[in-house]
Amino acid sequence: MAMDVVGELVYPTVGLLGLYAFVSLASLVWEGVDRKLVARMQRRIGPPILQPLYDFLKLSSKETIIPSTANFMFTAAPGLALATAIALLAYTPVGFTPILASKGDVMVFIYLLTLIGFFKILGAISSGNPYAKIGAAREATIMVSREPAMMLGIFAIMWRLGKLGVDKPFSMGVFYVHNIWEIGTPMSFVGAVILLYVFTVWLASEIEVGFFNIPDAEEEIAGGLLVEYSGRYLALLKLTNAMKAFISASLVVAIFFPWGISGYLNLTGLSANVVDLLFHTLKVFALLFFVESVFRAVTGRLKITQAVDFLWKNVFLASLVGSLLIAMEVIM
Amino acid sequence: MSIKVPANGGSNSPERERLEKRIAQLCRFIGRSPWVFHINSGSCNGCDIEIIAALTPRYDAERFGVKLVGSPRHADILLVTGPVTNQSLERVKLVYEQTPEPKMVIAVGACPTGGSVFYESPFTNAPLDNVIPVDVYVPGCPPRPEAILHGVVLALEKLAKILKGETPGGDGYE
Repeated sequence: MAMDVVGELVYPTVGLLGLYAFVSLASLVWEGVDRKLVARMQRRIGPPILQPLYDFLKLSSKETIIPSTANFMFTAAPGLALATAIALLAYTPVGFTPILASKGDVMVFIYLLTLIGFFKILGAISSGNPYAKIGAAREATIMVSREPAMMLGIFAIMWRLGKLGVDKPFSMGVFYVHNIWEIGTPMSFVGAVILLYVFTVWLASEIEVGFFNIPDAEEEIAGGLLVEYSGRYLALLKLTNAMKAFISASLVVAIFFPWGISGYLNLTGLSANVVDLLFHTLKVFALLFFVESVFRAVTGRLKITQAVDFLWKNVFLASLVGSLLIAMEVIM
Repeated sequence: MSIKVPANGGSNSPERERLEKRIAQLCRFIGRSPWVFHINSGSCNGCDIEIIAALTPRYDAERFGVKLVGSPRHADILLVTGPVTNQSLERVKLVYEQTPEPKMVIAVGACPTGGSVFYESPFTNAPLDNVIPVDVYVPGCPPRPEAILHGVVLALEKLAKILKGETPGGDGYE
């Protein structure tokens, strides 16, 4: 049987490229908005909204130094990290069912999300700089502490939503079929609120702001993971970080606030997707306003041991309780 | 992607014009996000505090895209304070070499400008231009934050001229 080439190859590829262009621009603009908002909170004027874009263009036009102690992975890691982020977009719920959504793709999502961090760590330890190694050790430590809480939460939610009846269980598209607030029992509502807390803290630690600005601590370890990167590679890593913030926030928005507006406007097909994407972007910005801007304006950096303690003893426990609460009436 | 314009070969060639156009474009973005790195070469902390003051909400250097970075690899402008003591001499040179092109060096305060009270001291190497090429001097003990910001603006204007080929490059040691 001949494969539908246009339907299965061309449309997804074009969609992914369009999504990549949009998300990279939107995430850089968000970073500018964030810097402006934090500046206003500190009674400053703040940089122009397009500042991260100027930074990106400047960095990509500067000399790129490769230290003599660096090995091959140092130069390969930024490109691989960005490629991973682009691949991740195909599995990210951005207001509509992801482009490559299929049964069980939540595993791929989590795998690719942690792979970005893994490539950053790999690039940093390949630079041969002791500060980068401290940053890499911190990133690895915080990564193994923050992901279990998120994974426990997301698997519990996916499993519970699967019980409500979906075509493709454990797919990132599930959130647009049923959402967590539809489970309906009082216990599950309390569980959903607890999981919302878990996921917002996870988001803050994923984008490393406020309490969790530990691996890239500019003031104490000179930029940590990024210390040896300059020029093009630094630009790529900055873009990857901005996109990762957008993607992580998209996950939280899709789980807890998945509602679109295209249904009310009677739109279908591509126009519905575009409207939902724009509305989703607004929701992501609103979420990031609380989790990134406000959080980073009012809190300082924790020590790595304090952060690990907090993520395991507080956030992971909360995730456990929340997961049990939303799964309760099915188990018993 | 640093671009080298041939010094005097073919001053009207289309190749040169193309490069100049390109450089003017690049320079626009450097002017919009100058990241500074602060080198303390044995300073008394007076100038350092004034540099921090220039970044505080009152002066808010970030509105021009100025950002204090933690690594010379990320920097466009080096702010050097202090009289370059013997202990810091090699470090200052190293940091200068580790900074990617195009870069600017600003000597902040009386010490790196002319030596100040450490003039002809055997333990210092002031002025700074004995050690690395300096583009802008900001005198004062310590200089006002406004003066430091003005120095950054002067450095960027000079950088624009160098990149367009109107003045010879700042690196006098080539």
